[in-house]
This record gives sequence, C-alpha cells and structure tokens, in this order.
Amino acid sequence: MMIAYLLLGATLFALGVIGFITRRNLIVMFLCTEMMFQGIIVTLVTFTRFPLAGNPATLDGQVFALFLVAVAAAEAALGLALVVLLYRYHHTLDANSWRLLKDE
Amino acid sequence: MQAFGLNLLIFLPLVGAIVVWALPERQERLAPRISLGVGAVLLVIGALLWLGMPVAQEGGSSPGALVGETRADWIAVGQRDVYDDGSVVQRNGVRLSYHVGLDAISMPLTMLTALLVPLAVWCSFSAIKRRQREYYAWLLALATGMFGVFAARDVLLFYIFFEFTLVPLYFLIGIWGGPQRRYAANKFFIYTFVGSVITFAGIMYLGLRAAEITGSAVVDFDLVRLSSLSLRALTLTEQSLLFIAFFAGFAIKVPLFPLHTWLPLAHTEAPTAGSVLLAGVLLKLGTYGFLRFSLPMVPEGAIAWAQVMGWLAIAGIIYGALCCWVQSDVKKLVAYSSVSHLGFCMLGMFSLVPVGLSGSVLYMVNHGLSTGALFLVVGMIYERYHTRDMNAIGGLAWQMPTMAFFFVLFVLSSIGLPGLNGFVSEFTVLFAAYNSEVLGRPYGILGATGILLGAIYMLYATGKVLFGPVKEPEGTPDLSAGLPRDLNAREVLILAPLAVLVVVLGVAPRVITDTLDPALEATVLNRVKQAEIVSAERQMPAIAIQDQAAFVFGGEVGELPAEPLSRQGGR
Amino acid sequence: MLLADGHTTLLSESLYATLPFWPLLGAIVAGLLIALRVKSGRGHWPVVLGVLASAGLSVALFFDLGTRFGGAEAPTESPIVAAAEAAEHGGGHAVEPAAEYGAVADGSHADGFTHTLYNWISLGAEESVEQDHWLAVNFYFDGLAGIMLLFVTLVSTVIVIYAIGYMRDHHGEPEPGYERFFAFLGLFVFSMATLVMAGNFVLLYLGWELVGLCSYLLIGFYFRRPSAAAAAKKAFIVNRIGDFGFALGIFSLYWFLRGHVQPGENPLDYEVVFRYAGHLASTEFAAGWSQATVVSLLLLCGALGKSAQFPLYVWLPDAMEGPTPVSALIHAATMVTAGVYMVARCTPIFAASEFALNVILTLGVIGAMLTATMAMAQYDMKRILAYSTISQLAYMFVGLGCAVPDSAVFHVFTHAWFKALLFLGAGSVMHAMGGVIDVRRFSGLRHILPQTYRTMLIGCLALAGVPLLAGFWSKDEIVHAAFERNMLAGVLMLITAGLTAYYTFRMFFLCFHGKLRLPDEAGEHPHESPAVMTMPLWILAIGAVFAGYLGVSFAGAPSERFLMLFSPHGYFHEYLHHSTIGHAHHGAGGLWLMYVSGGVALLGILVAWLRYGSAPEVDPDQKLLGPLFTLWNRKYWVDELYDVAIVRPLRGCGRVFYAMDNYGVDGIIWLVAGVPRAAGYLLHFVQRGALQTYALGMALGLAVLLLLWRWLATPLG
Repeated sequence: MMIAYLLLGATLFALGVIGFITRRNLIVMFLCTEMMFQGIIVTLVTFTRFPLAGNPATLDGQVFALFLVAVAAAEAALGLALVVLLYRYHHTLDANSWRLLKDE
Repeated sequence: MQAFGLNLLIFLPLVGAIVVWALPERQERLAPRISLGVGAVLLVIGALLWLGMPVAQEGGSSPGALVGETRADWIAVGQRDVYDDGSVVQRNGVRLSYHVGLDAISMPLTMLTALLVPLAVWCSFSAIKRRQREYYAWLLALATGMFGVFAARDVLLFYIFFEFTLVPLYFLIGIWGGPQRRYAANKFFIYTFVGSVITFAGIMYLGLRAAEITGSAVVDFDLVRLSSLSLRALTLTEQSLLFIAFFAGFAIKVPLFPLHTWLPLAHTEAPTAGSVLLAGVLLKLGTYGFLRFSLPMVPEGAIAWAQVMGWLAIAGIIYGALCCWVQSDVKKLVAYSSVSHLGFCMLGMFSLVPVGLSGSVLYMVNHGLSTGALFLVVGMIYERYHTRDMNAIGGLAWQMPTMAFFFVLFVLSSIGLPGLNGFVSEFTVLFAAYNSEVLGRPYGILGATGILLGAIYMLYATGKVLFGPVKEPEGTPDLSAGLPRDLNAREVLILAPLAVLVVVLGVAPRVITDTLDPALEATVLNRVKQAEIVSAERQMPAIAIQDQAAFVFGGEVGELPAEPLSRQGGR
Repeated sequence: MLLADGHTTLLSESLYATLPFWPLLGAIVAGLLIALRVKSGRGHWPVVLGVLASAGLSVALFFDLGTRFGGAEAPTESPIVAAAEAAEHGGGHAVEPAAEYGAVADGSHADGFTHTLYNWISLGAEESVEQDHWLAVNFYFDGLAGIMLLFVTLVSTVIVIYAIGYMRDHHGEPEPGYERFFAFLGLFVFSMATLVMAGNFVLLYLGWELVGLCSYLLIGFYFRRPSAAAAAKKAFIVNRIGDFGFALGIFSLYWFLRGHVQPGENPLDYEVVFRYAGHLASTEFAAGWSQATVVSLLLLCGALGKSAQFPLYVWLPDAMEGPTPVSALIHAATMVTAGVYMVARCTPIFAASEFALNVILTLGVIGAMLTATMAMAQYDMKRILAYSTISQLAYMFVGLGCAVPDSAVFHVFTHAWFKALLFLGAGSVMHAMGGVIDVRRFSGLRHILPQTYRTMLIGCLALAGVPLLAGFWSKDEIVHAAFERNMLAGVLMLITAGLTAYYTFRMFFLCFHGKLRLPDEAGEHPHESPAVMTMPLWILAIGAVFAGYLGVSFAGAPSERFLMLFSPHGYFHEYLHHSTIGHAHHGAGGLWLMYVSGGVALLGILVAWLRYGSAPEVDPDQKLLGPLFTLWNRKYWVDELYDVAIVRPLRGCGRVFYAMDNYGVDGIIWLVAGVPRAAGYLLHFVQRGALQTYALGMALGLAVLLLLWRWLATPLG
C-alpha cells in the first residue's frame, strides 16, 4: 500500500521537474515548483502513516508537511510578486529573456 | 562587574558602529564625535580591567586567573538532559560556547587595542571627509573583532572574531584607500582568508581528536581543554601537521617571510587609521595565535618546527630590513619594517625559553606602539604634503619641529634604543634566541644584524624626511583643511600618550612582565616542558627519561619526582 | 654617613646614585621650555645647573672614595704578582697577564660596591620565579668610576658654560635651536655618567647606545646641511656596527656564566662577572680559544666603534659637522673615552686573553700611525684635531693592549683636558672667523686673539707631549709599556709621538703665526671671544698643565727624581688599584725613555717651526710629499673603500630583494592564485545564465548522485 503513495508522490515530483525544465512561461514554471512541493508533502505524509520497520511512530512527517504548506504559501506570495515585477521590465513571461547571470 | 565591563568592551563598538551607521545624513558630522566618545569609553574600560587584574604573588592567585570571565552556551547541537532544577547537561553533539575572559597574556594586547582604537578614530578627523558614517562604523566594527579575538576563550569563537576582523578592514582599505585600493583590499582579504581556512580545518580536527582522547561525546572547543590534552595521545605526525595547519593562517597574518607580500601593499593603500590598526593590532593576531594555539596545543609540533620558524624569522628580519632601505615611499618603508620587526617577535617566541616568550609578547605591544605611532606621523605628513615619496620632501624638521620630535622618538623606539620600549623587547628576544637550547648562537647572531640594519634604514628615512635642505612639492604644504604647518593640538594629543608609553615601557617593562611571566610559565612553558619529556619518552628507553628531562631544563619538571638536580649537569 | 663596613662618607650613597639624573632633569626642563615656546635666551640655565650638580657630586664622590680606600688597608700586592715580579727581575721573562690577574679573578680586589635602584628587566626564571635573574638599574662605585666621573662631569661643565657664549651670534642673540642644543648636552652628560656608573653590562649598553644617540642628535644639530645630516647618520650607524659585536659579547657572557653562578646572582652584573673571570679564562671555547678570548673580542668590537679605532674610526672626522662644543664633548669627556673605559673596566676578562691583548695592541699601533699621517695632510683645523684624537685614543688602546689599563685611563684623563681645550680654542677661532676653519684661509691670528693664542699654545704643547705638561706623563707610560712588551710597537709609538708634535704645531703655526690674513666671512673687526668663552679655556689650560701630576709620585729613589722626572706611579694609579683594574704591572726603569720622548716632541715642534713658522700660503709639505700627501689628504680612500665594499653591495642586495618581492615571491603567490583562476575560466562557459539549464543540471546531477549512491551501497547490502 505504501508503495502506491510513494509512487504518487514521486510522479508528482517528476512531473514538476520536467515541467520546470521544459516550459518557458514563468508562471507555469512557478506552478511546476508547487507541484514538486506537493509530491514531497505526499511522501512525507506517507512516511508518517507507514513508519519504516523498527522506527517509532511519530508525527514528524505531518509536522513537516504543515511547515511545507506554510513555506509554499510564503513562496507563492514572494514568487508571484517577482514574476509580476519581471513582467513589468520586459513585457514578456519568457524565461529565456532573463540571462543576467551569464558570465560575459 | 568585570564581566560586564569585558562584554561592554567587546560589543560597545558594535553598538556604536550601528548607531553611527544609522545616523541621518544631515547629522553626519556627529559620526566622528560619537566614535571618539565610544573610543574614550573603551579606553576607560580597558584601563579599569587592567587595574582589576590580579597581581601575581608568590603562592597567591593562580596565574591562569581570568579577568571578566563570561561563559554562556551559544550554539549547541545534540541531545540534552534538562533536570528539575533547570540545569541543562549536553550529552552528545557539538557545543560552541561564548566564553570570554582576559588573562595576563591577552591583557596587554587588549589594552593596546583599547588605546589604539580611539587614537585611530581621532586621527581620521581631518583625513576622512567622504562617507564618514560608514567609515567610522567600519572602524568601530573592527574594534569589536579585535577585542573579541583577544578575549575569546573558545577556539571557535576566536576563529569567528579572527575572520570577522577581515571584513571591516577590507572595506576600510577598499573604499578609503589609495589609488590601488581595490587590488590591495582583495589581495589582503583573499590571502589571509585562504590561510585561515586551513587553520579552521586544523581547529576542527583538534576539536574532534580532543573529544576522542578525553572520551567525551560532546565536541567542544574550549581553549583550556584543547591546550591541556595529553601529549602522549597525540602523535608527533599529528602535531606536526596541526602545526602546519595553524601556521597557514597565522604566518600569513604575522606575516612571516615568504608570505608577507600582501602586507606592504595593504599598509600603503590603507587610510592612516587602517594602517595603524593593521600594524598595531591585527598583525599581532598572528603572533598571538602562535602563542595561544601552536605552542600550548601542539608543543611537540612547535618544537619540531621551531628551527624552521627561526630561519624564517631571521630571513624576514634581514630581508625586510634590506627591502626597507631601498624604498622611496615612506609608508611602504614602515610597512616593510613590520616584516622585519615581527621576525624578531617570532624569533623570540620560538626560542621557547621564558625570557624569549615574555620578550616576544612585549615586542607585540611595543611594535604596536612604535609602528602605530610612525604610521600616525606619516599620515600627518601625508595630509599636508599629499605625497609619501621621500625624494619629494625633505628637511621637514625645520618646518615641523614638533612632528620631528615625535618622528625621531618613535624611530628610536623602533630601532631599539635602550631606555625606550623597543630595546627591552629586542634585547630579550635576541638574548633568548642566542641562549636558547632550541635555536642557539647562529640564530642570535644573524638576528642581531637586525639591530644594525634597523638603524640603517630607519635613519635613512629620518634623514630623508626630516633633515637636509627644506624640500616641499609644488603647492604644499596644503593647509586648506585647516591644519597648521606644524602639528595642531589634536595631533599632539594623539601622539603624546604613545610617546609617554614608549618611555614608560622602556624604563619599567615590569608593568607588563610581572604578571605576564607567570602566566606564560603556566600556560605555555609548562606545555613545552611536557612536550620535551614526551618526545624523550618516544625516543629513548624509559630509564633515560629523567636524565633527559634534567638535560633539557636543568631542573625539576612536571610529574617527575622533585629531586634536586645539579645546575651544572645540564650544560 | 656611616656605612655598614665602618667607613664614613661625605654624602649618602643614594645621593651619589642621583648623580647622572641631574643633567637629565636639566635636559627635560630645557625640553619643556622648548615645548612651551619660551624663548628667553636663558634656556641654558637648567642644563648648566644640572651638570654643575653632577660635577659637585662627582668631586665629593672622588674624595669620598679616596678616603674610603685610603682608610682601608693599603692593598698589598698579591703573592702571584709579587712572585711574577721577582721572576721578571731575576730572569727577565715577560709576565703572563693571565697569572697576574688571577688576584682580581678570585675577587680579592672587590673594592667597589653596587647600589641598586630597581629591577629593570627579567631575564627569565631559570628554575623558579623566586630565583629570577634580574637586570637591575644598579650603579657600581669604585676607583675607575670615581676618576671617570670626575673628569667627565668637570670637563662637561666647562664645555657647557663655554657653549653659552659659543651658541650666539655676534650680537649675543642665541642661535636657532639654542635650548635644543643645551637639552641635548644635558642628555649627553646623563648618558655618559650612566655609562660610567653602570653596574651591569646591559646598563652599560644603555649608556653606550645613548651616547651614540646624543652624538647623532648633536652632530646633526645643523640638520639642514646635508653633510651634517649624513655625518650624524654615519656616526650612529658605524657605532651600531660595533654595538652589534658588543651585544653578542653580552649574550656570550651570559651563555658562558649562567651555568656557574650561584642562585640569585645575575651573570651580567659586574660583581658577578669579574668574580668568575678566572673561569672564563680557564674554559676552552674552541680550539685554542678560551671563552675569555671570545668575549673580549666581541666586546672589543663595541669599543672600536665607540672609541673610533681602526677600522671603525671613519665616523669621527665627519663628526666635525656638529657645533664645536659638541666636538669637544665627544672627543674629550664623553663618547670616545667610553671604549677605553669599557676595556679598562673589563680588565679581568681582557687580561685573561693574551690573544685579545695582542689584537688590541696591533689595532692600536695601526690606528695611531694611520691617523697621525692623515692628520698631517689636512687643512680643516677641527679635522686635524679629530685625527689627533683618534691617534691619541690609539695610544690608549696600545696601553690597554700592553696590559697597563691604569696608564690608559691616565691618558684618557689628561687627554680630556687638553683636547677639550684645543677644540674650544678652535671653536673660539671659528667664532671669530665667522665659521671659517680652513687653516689656509687665515693666519697670524695671535694679534687679534691673544687669549685664544696663549691657551691654544698650552694645549698644543700638552698634546705634543712636551715635558712637564699633562700629555707627557701619560703618554710616556704607554710608550714605555709598549717598549716593555714589543720593541717594534714602542718604536712606532715613539715615531707617532714625533708626528703628533709635528702636525699639531703645523696647524698651530699656520693658524696663529705669520702675517695677519683674514677671510671675508670674519667681518670688519674680528675680535676675541667673550669671557664666558675664554674663562673655560683658561680653566682647561690649568688642567692641561697640571692634570698629569696626579699620576706622578714624589716618592721613590732620588735618582728617579732627577730633573723632576718623577716616577709615574702616583696617586692616580693608587686610586685606580681600587677598581676592577687592580694592579697593573709596570716595568721598572725606563727613565731614559723620558728624555728620548721629550726630545722627539721638541724635535717635531722644531721641524714644524722651520717649515711652517711663517705660515706660508703654499704648503711646503704638499710639494715635498706629492702623491703621498694626496693619499693622506684623502685619508687612504678608506671611506670610498667602505662605500664600494660594504654599503653599495648591501644596498644592491636590498634592491634585488625588493625586486624579488615584487616579482619573485609575489609571483609564486600569483601562480598559486592562478590555479583557481584558470579553473574558474574553464568553468565560466557553463554559466550561460539560462535558468532552466541550471535546473536541468541540478536534476541530472541529483540523479547521477542517487545512482552512484545506490551503486556504492549495493555491495554492503
């Protein structure tokens, strides 16, 4: 049973990674990162529900999951604000238009 | 009360820095005054702490007693047991405590810092006109770092403060320095940083090993604990490698001979206050590090490397002196003289005899006073003539008699004229090297050439700057900043305390050494003696150990049975 | 006051210990006057009073020590000396000085006493803190110190008073830097008194360096003249060369003795060192060299520098750049006498080393001859006197080398009076001539400077060694000792004596005789100096005539008193026996030498009169000697030789090092720094700034790491 949950989490995470790498739209990329978060949260909750052999049952995973939700919310607020700012500069959401970190 | 004083000494400058930095722009002219006020308070606190130092009496207070000791857990990772009465005991993991306190070794250097900081602030009044708030903020922040280094009783805390001093000075040189300031600041930062990273690795290793040796599950970096490890547990190879690790950070800071090239540049480019604190205090962090770490923590390694250190010191003495002689930039000359002088300091330290160590600490203080003062005077000349080229100026004794008095006095102190402070340390250091068992005659003789070379280059500079026909560059002296031709009252008051100390420490060095000597004996020399015994054990069958110990010290040592040994026997 | 050992003294011991500090106090007060910008023209008072106080104290001390020693049992000759003398009279063998000074070495001559002010420097606890070796500020009083202090302070007082008149222009206004000058003079006297009174080698070194400093400050008094600044620097640095050896000598003393002294004894205190001098002599350091030889030779380096002996004499002639009272002070009372004093003080060590004595003797003879010839070809009045000083100091060194340190000190004593007189006289001439000192540019000055003329004549006669004047007695003792020890040295000394008489009077005649000729700088009406300058001249002239009689004994066989040529072992020598010098061995007889030496002096003067009596404008010697004269005039090109052989190579070394610093050492650092730099260059292509490329890199990297971990973990299960 546990494997199914874990696979779900892993799939969500992998989809998020693939989306982040392939899509060019900043908002979509941002949503992909959120998807990665969800994958991790699922995994964490899974481990709480099904502790590994020999380990005591704790609520650590669920606590972490709550933390992650909070962090994700904060990140969303900050990230979307940044995206808006970036859009104001270049009037595009294409991630390729930002290459300031390139070493000239 | 003393603990509060010491903590105030460390953190007041930081608070002051924040206040000064946060001043509104129209209040900028308050920045120097606030900083000077902070500096004056520091001086008073320093003096009070100094007076509060327990006087060593025979059979009285222990030499290791700390003034203003404060201990608090800072970063603790690991499992902890909380008891009903509220006390907490750490069971395992890593612990870094905020543990500060001054002993008789760090006290003179702290006092030197407390004196030089206000003077450095004061001397910037007319020199710094640009971005004053930031400037004074960095200057005060630097003071926090310096006090922290000398007060730290936890090795990691020491390291934190040690690295922290780099940042303010980096900005002081990089923003308010001379034409090559960027290059100088980068070089200074990277050079010293690279070295100290290796030192950090050494500290980590020693901390872990200490936990292993003492069988403790908690890794901590207490200075006393690390410097009282059983030497039998640390192998000679380990100690040698640790010595090299410490060497990497400290030798660059000192700077010892082949690692000195950052120094002339940094000194020359830095603003006057930066040079004063760099020469006066920051270079001593290196020598202090050797004294605090290398000698007591890995004494066998220190003994194994002592001769190499001696040769490097001598190379520095001669090389630095000869380089001085061909300079035309007077500030660079003083900078190179530091290379030469710190060579003396290291020579005394690695002679590993009482008089040498005590002379070496005295040398730190004396070099801080006289070289710091020389940088101040050179800065005062620079403010008026906008040049440090000795070929462009000359005969200034006629124009600036007061300045000439101070210049000559500090030059004489610097070349070790008897009756002034430089002599006591220089003489004892050479004396120690010459009579040391570890170093010996060749070191003493070659080191003593420094007293000749020192006179040559210093008098060369004096002759060029002060004597001969009056020579001034076009359009100078530039008195537009409101400075008189000769020194004004502020400048005289900056130099006067240094001048007084130069004489007092020359006539009565016991002000420092009376408390210093027992402390050195207890913290450093005993470790060296133990190391001698342990290395004898390693080399010889057990039966011969006692003779060996007698051979080395001519007296009873540590754990050996205290039977009278003949004095002649050893020599 | 009553001392513990039953002697009464005029003044208390602690009062005598303040002796050096009065001039220092004067100097400090004068310094404060400068700092407070008080320009009253009376800035000399603090220093004059300070020096006077010291002089008073030293006179009292001199008599005090005299009664103290006189009251004690007259020191009987130790058995060793008596035996040696008997052997010598019988077999005519030279006495082995090492044996002779055995008496001193075991401390039987401990007439001196030490007064400790406070502990100064800790030399480190050898065994425990309680048994620390302290370098103390302590003073050692004995006959040698008493005599040295006597003339040092007295002559200094006279010179300081003279300077009041000298350091003013024609209108009696003080020169610029008047107060500074007196402050330095006070410091100078303080330094010299400390040097003489010091009770351990480090305090001696303190005085030693401080007189070097004062000479630096005073020679460079007219610092705006480049030559003065250069001369000052040269004086200090050449002295430091000597001090280098001196310092090593001190270190060696400690090294040799520390294992042998009793707990609580500091192996650098005079009392301790001289007690163990016998040990130094008997311990071999290296093949054929005893420890005493090593220490002696190292200490000698210092003496050669300070006393301007060959090969370190080069600074002294240049030191003429200072104001004339300074020259007088340096040459007569302070500074140069320090080297002789030190060697005499360390007699127990030096006498224990035959080799060291021979070195001193050889250097002394070379120096005396060399500088006497140089003096013959100079035109600068002060320079001639400077070379004569070196030559006379070389005499003293010959005396030291012949193991008669009491005669050497005697010569120091008499020399101080007449050399100060000669310099102050030259200063008086210079004062009247508007600063001109070249003897070619004036002559016949006896008409306008009658007082100076008369006193100078006395000084010149004394220097030339004319019988019955001060220089005669002391010089003869040395020449006699030289004959006793080595015939060649004696003959050379005698020839030098003739040369001395010749060049002294060459200068004298050129200056004062012939027709009146004046340089333009002298102004319209050159005149005799004021009384404040001529009175000191007369005081010194009295000393130049009578100082020698202190060393003359009226006792002895009538045959030795013939023609009033007394046996030269008078009060002075008796007095000196109560010091670390102890009994020096003087050969018996030698009366014939007095006639010869007197004759040589008179011959020299006669020849000078014949050649220079009319002060010819063209120098006859220059024509006669030709290239030899040039060689002498250019001082054998020794200065140039030093410059080429030592100074330039060292400086070149500095240049090479500095270049190395910039390109070599720093280059290596750059190479090291180049590695991360190159790596960074290679890697910077990866950094394209595209966000998603980085993300891909991260994802792939993570995947690789996970696979790697899995692969590594598998075998472990």
